Amino acid sequence: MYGDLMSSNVVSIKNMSYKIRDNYILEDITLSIKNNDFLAIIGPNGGGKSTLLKIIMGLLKPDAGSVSVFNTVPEEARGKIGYLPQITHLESDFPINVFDTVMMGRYNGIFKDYADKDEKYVMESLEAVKMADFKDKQIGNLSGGEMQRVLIARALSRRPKLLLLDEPTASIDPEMQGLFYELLKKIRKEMAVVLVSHDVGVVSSYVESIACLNGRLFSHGPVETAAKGIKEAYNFKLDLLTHETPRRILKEH
Amino acid sequence: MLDFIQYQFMQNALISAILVSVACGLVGTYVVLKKIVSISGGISHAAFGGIGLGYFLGINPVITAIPFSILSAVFMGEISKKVDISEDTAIGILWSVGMAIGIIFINLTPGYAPDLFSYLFGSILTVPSSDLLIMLVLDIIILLMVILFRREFAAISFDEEFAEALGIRANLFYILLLAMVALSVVVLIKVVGVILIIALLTIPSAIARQFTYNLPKLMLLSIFLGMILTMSGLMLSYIYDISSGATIVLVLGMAFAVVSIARKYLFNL
Ligand SMILES: Nc1ncnc2c1ncn2[C@@H]1O[C@H](COP(=O)(O)OP(=O)(O)OP(=O)(O)O)[C@@H](O)[C@H]1O
Ligand SMILES: [Mg+2]
Repeated sequence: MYGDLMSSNVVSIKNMSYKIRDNYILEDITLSIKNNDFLAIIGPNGGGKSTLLKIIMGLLKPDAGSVSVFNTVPEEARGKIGYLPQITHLESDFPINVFDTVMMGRYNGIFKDYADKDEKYVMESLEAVKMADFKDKQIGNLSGGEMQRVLIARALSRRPKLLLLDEPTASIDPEMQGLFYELLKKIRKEMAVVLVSHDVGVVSSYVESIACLNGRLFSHGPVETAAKGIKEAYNFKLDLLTHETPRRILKEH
Repeated sequence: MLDFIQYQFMQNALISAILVSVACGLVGTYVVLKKIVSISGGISHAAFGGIGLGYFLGINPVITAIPFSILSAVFMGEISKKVDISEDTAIGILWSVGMAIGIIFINLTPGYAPDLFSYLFGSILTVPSSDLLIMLVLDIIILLMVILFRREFAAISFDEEFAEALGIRANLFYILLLAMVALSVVVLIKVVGVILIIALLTIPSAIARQFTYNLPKLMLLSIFLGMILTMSGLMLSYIYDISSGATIVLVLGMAFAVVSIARKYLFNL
C-alpha cells in the first residue's frame, strides 16, 4: 500500500545543514533510515555524529534542509525514539534508584501514570543489560559501566521504533559488549537501530550499513561498499586542520 | 505552662509554622536537588518590589507580592535563555532591581509604612488570620502542582536534556518550578521576611536528604523537620523576646550543622 511505502522511512533527512556561529558542523546531509535498518555512524572526533543524533531527536534545530522522523517533525516523534546520549548531564547525587531511573524512559505525557505494563518493560530492559539485581540501588553508587548499562536500559524501556545510541559500548567491559551486540541483533527485528561507534571492526560484523560522517556524509550504504568511505572521512578534516588542534586518529582496521 | 497557646497570635503563629513547613518541604526539595538556590534567593528578594506595590496601592502587600514574584520568576527563567547573559548576572540584576522598586514604591506612599520590618525580617507572631488563609490557598496550589507534575519536575531536575528527549517541555516546567518557588516565597514572606526566606527553602531539605534517597520521603521528612525546627525557633524567640525570623533561621542552621557533623563523626567511627 502507498501508506506503507510512506511510513517505511523512519528518518528522512534532506540537504540538512547545521552551523554554530557561521561554522558548518554538518553540511548538506541527505540520509534516510528505514524500518529495521541497523546503521552504524562512524567518523572522527568532532565529525558531528552526536550532533546528528540530537537533530534527529529534535534537541537541535537544523539551519537548512528538512528532517522528518516517522513522517512528522522530530519533536512529535519522541514517543517512538529511545535515546542514549553520549554525555549524560544527569545529577548523580539525585535521590533515585536504578528502577526509577529506567522507569523515566516510560514517560508518556502529562497526567499519564505508570502502569503494571511499564514495570514489566522496565524489568525486561534491566534484565537485557544484566542489571536487574541492581534495581534498588542508588544510581550514585554505580560504577561508570554499570551506569552506562542502566542508561541503555532506560533507552530500551521505551520500546521504541527507533533506537539512537551514542557510543553505547564506551566503558562497557568486553563480555558485556558481546552480549550487547547480540541483544541489538535480536531487538532490531522490532525497530531501527542507529549507533555511533569508533570500533569499526567490531561494529561492521554486526551492523548492516555504515554511514561515514565528518561534517559531510562521505558514504552511506551496506558495510562492504560504505567502508571505503571511512578513510576518506577520517582524512578529510585532518588535512584542513593539521595546523589547528591535533585530533586523535583511529587505528585503521 | 502551655497557657500561651490560648493566645490568638500564638495559635496563628503555630498554624503559620505548619503552613510554611509544607511549602518549604515540597518546593525546597526541588530547590536543593535542582540546585536553584541562588535563583530562589533572587526571586525572594525581588518579591519586595511586590510588597512596596501593595503599600503604594493600599492593599495587602502579601497579595501584590504574588503576581510580582511570579513575574520575576518567569523573567528569570526566560531572560537568561533568550538574552545572552549568564544566569548569575540575571539573578544579580533581578535581586537588586526588585528591592529598589519596593523601596521607591514605599517612598512614594504617603505616611508611615507599618510592619515594613516584618516583610524584611519576618515576624511569625504577628501573622493575621487573613494572611493564614492566603498561605493555606497557596500551599494547596503548590501541593496540587507537585502531585500533578511530579514526573515532569523529577525528570527535569534529574536530567534536563533527557527530559526534553522524552518529550517533556523542559523549559516550560522549569518556569513552572520557578513559579512554585515564587508562590512559596509569598507563603514565607510574613514568617521570615524576604532576606531570610532562602534559609527555609534550603535547610530542611538539606538536612532531610542526608537520611533518605527517596523523593516523596525526602519531601515528607523536610516538612516534618521544618515544623519541628520552626516551632522550636518560635518558642525560643517568644521566651527570650528576640526576633522570630532570625531565631528560626539560626535554629535551622544549627540543626544542619549538628546533623552534618554528627553524621560525619558517626561514619568515621
Ligand atoms: N556548543 C558548541 N559550541 C561550539 N562548537 C560546538 C558545540 N557543540 C559542538 N560543537 C562542535 O561541533 C562539532 C561536532 O561535535 P559532535 O559532538 O557532534 O562530534 P562527534 O562526532 O560526536 O565527536 P566525538 O567522536 O568526539 O563524540 C565539533 O567540532 C564541536 O567542536
Ligand atoms: Mg559524539
